[in-house]
Amino acid sequence: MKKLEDFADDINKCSKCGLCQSVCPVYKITGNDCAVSRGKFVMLDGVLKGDLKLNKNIEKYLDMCLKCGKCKNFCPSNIDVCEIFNTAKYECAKNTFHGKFEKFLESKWVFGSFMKVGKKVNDICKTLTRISAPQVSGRNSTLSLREREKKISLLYFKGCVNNFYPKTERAFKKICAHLNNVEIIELNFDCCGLPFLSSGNMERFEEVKKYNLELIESCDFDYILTDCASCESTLKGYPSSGYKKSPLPPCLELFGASENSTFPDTLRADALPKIRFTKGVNTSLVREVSRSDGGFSFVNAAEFLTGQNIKFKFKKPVKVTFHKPCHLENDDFLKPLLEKCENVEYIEMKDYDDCCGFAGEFAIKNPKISSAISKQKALNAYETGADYILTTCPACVMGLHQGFIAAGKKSPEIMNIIEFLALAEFAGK
Amino acid sequence: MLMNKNKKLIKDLQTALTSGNVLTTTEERYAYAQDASNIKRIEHLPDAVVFVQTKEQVQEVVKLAAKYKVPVICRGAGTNVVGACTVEHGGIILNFSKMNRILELSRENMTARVQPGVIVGHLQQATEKLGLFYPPDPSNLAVSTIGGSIAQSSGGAKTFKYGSTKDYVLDLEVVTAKGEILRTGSNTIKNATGYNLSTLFVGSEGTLGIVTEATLKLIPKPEARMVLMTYFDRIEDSIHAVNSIIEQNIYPATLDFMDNNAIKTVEKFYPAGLLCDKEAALVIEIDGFQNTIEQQRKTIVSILEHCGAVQIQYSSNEEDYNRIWTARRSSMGACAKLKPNVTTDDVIVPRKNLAALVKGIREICEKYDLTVCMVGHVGDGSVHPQIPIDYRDEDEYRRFKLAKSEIYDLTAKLDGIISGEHGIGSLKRNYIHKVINSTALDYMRLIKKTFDPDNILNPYKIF
Ligand SMILES: Cc1cc2nc3c(=O)[nH]c(=O)nc-3n(C[C@H](O)[C@H](O)[C@H](O)COP(=O)(O)OP(=O)(O)OC[C@H]3O[C@@H](n4cnc5c(N)ncnc54)[C@H](O)[C@@H]3O)c2cc1C
Ligand code: SF4
Ligand code: SF4
Repeated sequence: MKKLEDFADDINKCSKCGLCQSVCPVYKITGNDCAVSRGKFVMLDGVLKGDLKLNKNIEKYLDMCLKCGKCKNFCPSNIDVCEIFNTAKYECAKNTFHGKFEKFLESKWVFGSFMKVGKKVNDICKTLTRISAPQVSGRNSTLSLREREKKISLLYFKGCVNNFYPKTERAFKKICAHLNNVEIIELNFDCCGLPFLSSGNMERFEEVKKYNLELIESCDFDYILTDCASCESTLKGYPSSGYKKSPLPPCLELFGASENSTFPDTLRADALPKIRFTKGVNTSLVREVSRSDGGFSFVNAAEFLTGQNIKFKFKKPVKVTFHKPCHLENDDFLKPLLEKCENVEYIEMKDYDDCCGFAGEFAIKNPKISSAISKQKALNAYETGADYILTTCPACVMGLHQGFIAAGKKSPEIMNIIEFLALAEFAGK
Repeated sequence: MLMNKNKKLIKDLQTALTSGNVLTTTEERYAYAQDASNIKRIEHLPDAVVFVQTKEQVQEVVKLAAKYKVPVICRGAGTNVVGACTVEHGGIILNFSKMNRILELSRENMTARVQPGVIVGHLQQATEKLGLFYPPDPSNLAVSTIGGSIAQSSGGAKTFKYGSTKDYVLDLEVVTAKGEILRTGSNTIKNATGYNLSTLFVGSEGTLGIVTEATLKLIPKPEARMVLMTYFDRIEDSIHAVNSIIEQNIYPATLDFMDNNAIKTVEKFYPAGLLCDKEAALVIEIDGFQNTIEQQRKTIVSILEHCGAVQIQYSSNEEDYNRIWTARRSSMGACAKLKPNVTTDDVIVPRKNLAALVKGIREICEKYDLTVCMVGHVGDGSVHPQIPIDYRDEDEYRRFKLAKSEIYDLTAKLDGIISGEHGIGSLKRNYIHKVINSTALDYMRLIKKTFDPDNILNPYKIF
């Protein structure tokens, strides 16, 4: 585990130019230099020089950070802000009482049992609702190489929210039921670890990371699939090796419908015939994926669907707008995906990539700032007059709801883009 | 006793501003002891950091500072690079980041009335929506504030044609050291009524009074713009080209240059196909009515060719425009990648001496074994030598200090001045005597004494 001293060079690299103020959502609300990376670096530099102690006064500002990475992407000195803050937070938390208490709550014993209960409840609901889904293999799929070539296997990292409230999961599976030869692998993953990272609980983070990595490595798959931008970005941070471009999954043959016809409403998803690599795979959607030695490629659910020949027909015309989660690396899929939707008008909201202000623990520790950021977000979304606000992260959905409450406006439907797509009637292209 | 006084001051500040607007922990005060000058070691902390939103609050703070005889140091974004808001004698950091409303934009009068915390870039965007233009454009306009840019008399790439902040200030509302309200000008384009106090306050670095409102002049927004970039084998050729362009009665908005080291460093970190074997690159922006752009471009291109320029590129759309500008603007960021700390400076000479200045700076830096990347505004004769160093290397730091002093001597010898737009602050005050004569300095001190007899407004900055 890294220590704050290990980042001395990076902290020293901050030129104090202050340019990060222009992108930091927290600075925009507070106008307080301590809340943006520059001020935090001045303080941490003071700690390293022995002028200051890493105490609760600094911790307060470490907590006052959405970990949105906006300053990191922008900083002329290229400093990995979030990693440094997380490490500093770790060193704070390890000494304070509330830090220890938080760790207790996040321990595998408490947090883990909580998640298990969630899963159970969800499983019961599943059997009750009986959704049609494609083949789901419970464990290590042991397909031979020849078979593997004919299938596309997605290792579904569902994330904690789906464990409680699997709306997005159901939606995704509902759509996938129309795709031929897609295999969704589900394993018993732990949390991606983001909450632990931000609360400075590095031990717990390392624990879930190790556990999840072992599961991932035990399994044979083509892509790790996520429907939450934050999970994806955290998982990508697991392997410390470099980044490599890799193409998105190919376009699969449709199942149960001929081209240009509407699918039947329900499908039997048992037989899974051969995979076909259609020509003209959307090569513009080549993106960066992280590959460790084990070789992982990532795809998010929206990107995956963008590459498929499905059309989404909406009965009535609807207007939608999109909130780009800070953790979503790129949203190149958005326009091509919405072009596949009939009767859908996309209206970009002002500052569509500004933070929603939620960021889990941040909202709990800084309710006023969080709500002020969310409020602005909600107002921007509201101005578009959209019927649906779409996004790809469950925490952002909460942030948007919080914003509408703060703004005192009636909120349109707010949902993951996958859930929105599942509202449509599906058709071949 | 001292402790007591401090406690009382903080209590009074909290009563005046509510405790949420007063920061007092050691850590917070430490963070506010630094600005973009990136001082090497923080040795003094302010007693408190406060946020204000109204001029009445500013008056209260100043009155308390006067009562307790502690300094008041204004702060906008804290991005000045000369230590103008660093702390040497404790006191109150008076923050304008929350006093940031644009109060009035008048199309008819072509003026803007703003609070001091308004970010320069935000004002530019707002005026452009009305077809108007606020030209002063420090390159960090995305963060720098009106108050700070007034106090430092900031300029930018377009200063050659459009002037700097001082040319746009019509009227200021100022809180004096006694807490009175003073107006420096009027809401009119011309004013020959008494001393021009506005110019006195512009560039005064918060040492004479506190700006709580500014009325700024706006101009019509030029209809179209284009940027050209080209290279030369000799620095003299690039300056000769600039002179020739001006002789043809063309008035470009920007005439910026990069020296060989700056070109190489940018190309190394942000590859954009720059020609790394050339001694100088020029970036020229022209603007005006759409139908005049082509004419200007043709004349400029033929002049450039005549002066030995190679690879003349120009922007035909917004994307090209941004690409070329990004290359020029990346120089500081690229430089920052060479060593942990990058320092910038701001010296200016009459244009005829610019080549001598650039070459002299290079020689000085070679002598002291320092890397230097130079960018500058040729039109104005101003150079920003960016010297990347590692503060932890004591010997390098010593050489850096010696080089600086020699650069200022050279500037003085070339009939120049040691700041064109960044100001003096605390970092350059030991050198001001090299360029300002002692009589002038004595009168400046008298002016300071008249406005601020107790020396509470940003004390000991400038001289
Ligand atoms: C990356 C970078 C690029 C830069 N590029 C340029 C450039 O191109 N051109 C240029 O000219 N400068 C440039 N600068 C310098 C800097 O931007 C200017 O000095 C800037 O305008 C300062 O604004 P600020 O709001 O940060 O002021 P601050 O640094 O906060 O304050 C500067 C001074 O103003 C005083 N002050 C602030 N508000 C008030 C007020 N309301 N009343 C009285 N005094 C006040 C402060 O006490 C201080 O003395 C650059 C700086 C950086 C870091
Ligand atoms: S943008 Fe980067 S270098 Fe500049 S102050 Fe912020 S963290 Fe430091
Ligand atoms: S990560 Fe986001 S919230 Fe945190 S300092 Fe950077 S910009 Fe601000």
